[in-house]
Amino acid sequence: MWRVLKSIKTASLLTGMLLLLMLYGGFSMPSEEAFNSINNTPLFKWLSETPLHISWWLWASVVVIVLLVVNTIVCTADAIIKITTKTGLLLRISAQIIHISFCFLMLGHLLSSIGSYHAFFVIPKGGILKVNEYTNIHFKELQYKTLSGYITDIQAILLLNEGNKVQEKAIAPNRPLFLEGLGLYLKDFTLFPEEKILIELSHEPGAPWALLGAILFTGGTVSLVLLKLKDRRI
Amino acid sequence: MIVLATALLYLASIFYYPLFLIALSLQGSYILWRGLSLERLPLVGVHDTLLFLSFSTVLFSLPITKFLNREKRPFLQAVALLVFAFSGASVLSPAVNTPLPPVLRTYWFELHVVLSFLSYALFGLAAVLGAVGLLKNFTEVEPIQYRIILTGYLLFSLSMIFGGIWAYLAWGTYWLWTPKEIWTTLLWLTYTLYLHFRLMQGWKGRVSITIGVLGYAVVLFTYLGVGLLMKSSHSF
Repeated sequence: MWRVLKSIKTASLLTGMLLLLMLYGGFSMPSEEAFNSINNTPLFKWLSETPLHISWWLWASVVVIVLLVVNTIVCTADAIIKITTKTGLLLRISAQIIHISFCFLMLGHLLSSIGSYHAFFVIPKGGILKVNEYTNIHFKELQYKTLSGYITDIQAILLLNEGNKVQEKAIAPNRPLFLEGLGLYLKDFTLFPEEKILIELSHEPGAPWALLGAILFTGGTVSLVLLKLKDRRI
Repeated sequence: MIVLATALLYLASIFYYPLFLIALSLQGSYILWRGLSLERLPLVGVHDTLLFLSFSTVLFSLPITKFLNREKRPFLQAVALLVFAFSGASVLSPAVNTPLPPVLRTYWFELHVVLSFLSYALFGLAAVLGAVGLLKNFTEVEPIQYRIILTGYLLFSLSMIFGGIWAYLAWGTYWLWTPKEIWTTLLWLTYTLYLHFRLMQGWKGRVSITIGVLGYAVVLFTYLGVGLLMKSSHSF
């Protein structure tokens, strides 16, 4: 069992299966209306509510990814155990760092697939959004710059009311406001006939793990590529 | 006019190599001029991205030729044909001259797009080199193709990471289920599979070269096919 799980053939087979499933998904997704809501719902909730004939390839992808993570963990553990000499140590470690980073990335996706939260609110100028029992947001105004008739920069000025404390804050595209684990995003706006903003409240519990995975992946891959480019035995 | 002239120069360079370098200089100057006149990175829309892809492909092909011997001439001719197609196609697509919308005004976007196209250029060169190797029976190109793909894989992975960070700051999530993201994952999986296949006994050689060539079909569909045929978060 250990031999099968650590095998690169197993890794290749599973990666190939995932590739075929994603290929099917890539073509089927645009034609199914059910996928319109997939980005606003935690993945597993969406999967449980969607007919199997539409979502089967995603279920199958989840199973293959789980197997791939198990394969990666076993392969990595086996490779680390077998390190006995310092020859080529950095190269071997780099490859294993990439493998570990993949597991963190998948952990991030798992946590977000279970516990992500996305909610949308349209707030007119002067309107109030209650974030929780103690916090609310008052939309004061939009400030923007234009060039040749196009809006090139825009920010929504908010008054953040946390109990007795009121602070002025700004949110803009690419500049969200983070409040106790929730992100507040300016998703859209209208200027006429009255100023309105579309706010998204978002929580991605997997984001820190995905970022950790991304940092490890970058470090491992940069190191591996530099070493491989120098290696004359390739 | 300059774009068409560049495309034709690339085509003519199949027969007379110095034109290849003249076309590269002309194309580089045009991209620089667009960037300066628009006061932004000229990488929005098919017109500009095709030109940048063409320019990057040619630029990367130059150091690669230092590692080639008898494959050098057919490789450069095939590259010239490829970039003629890209440059020629860019003539047909109107240039986007509007200022960037606020969501695109971030370094994460610039890093994401630039690295994507640099990696596409490398994957293209790996495919061209592989195709030349298979057609002319030069299997010694395999280690060079591997190094090109490995470098492209690094740049593409970084592009995905920067794209994820940008998406988190812009849309509140680092991952969206849209055809573009699915195809990007497919592309990453294709080259991940290539790198793993190559470690398996009996797969290094003609098989790995062939996968390196076929992978480029996924690159082209991810870049052009998805954008033109499917709706995604990458339509601005």
